[in-house]
Amino acid sequence: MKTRIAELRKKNKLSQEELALAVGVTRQTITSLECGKYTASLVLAYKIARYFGLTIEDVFDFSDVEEL
Amino acid sequence: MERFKDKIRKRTVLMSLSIIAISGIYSVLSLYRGSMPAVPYFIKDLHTGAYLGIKLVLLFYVLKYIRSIRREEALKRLYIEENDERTIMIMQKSGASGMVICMIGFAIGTIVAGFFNAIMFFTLLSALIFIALVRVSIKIYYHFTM
Repeated sequence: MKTRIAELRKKNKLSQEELALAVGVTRQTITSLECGKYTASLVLAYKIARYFGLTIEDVFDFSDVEEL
Repeated sequence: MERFKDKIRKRTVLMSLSIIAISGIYSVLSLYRGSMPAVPYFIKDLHTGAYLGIKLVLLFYVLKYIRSIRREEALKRLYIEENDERTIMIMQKSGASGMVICMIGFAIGTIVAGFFNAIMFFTLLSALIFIALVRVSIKIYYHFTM
């Protein structure tokens, strides 16, 4: 899943390590999220969005999600 | 974080007790080794290696946990390390696929062994049935608890 995490992080002058510590995950998880290799859980998505003061839809791109 | 600190404290005590228990058991068994059936040297060396290995691993974790209890920053890092959702998912996926690969390996081994040796065939078949039963039991457990 595509995300705006890297963009928002750079805008806020944050390192991956700092963001990881703030939302309670490892730096590797943030790297995987930024690369689109890993999809965050609802709780983590909420924590990241809240950290940047945005909604989940503002941070995560749901356009690729298939609808039945 | 206090609840996690208590959990780590309990784990440290349990691991310390395990080190003492393992040392005790190994010392007693070493004392009476002379009166036990003779076994090849490599088995004795394997016992010593396993004893030292387990003890060192436990000691490593005890020291790591003590450091985490004393320093708040280290405790937070340990909490993140243990509760990181991606790591948990990797563990779950590798455990599940590892079990399937083991079962396939055992099934192939059982079929091949059937051509050569009956004892080997039944041993592998028992192991395969055991793994399959464990897998099914775990599946049923999670179906009812999730």
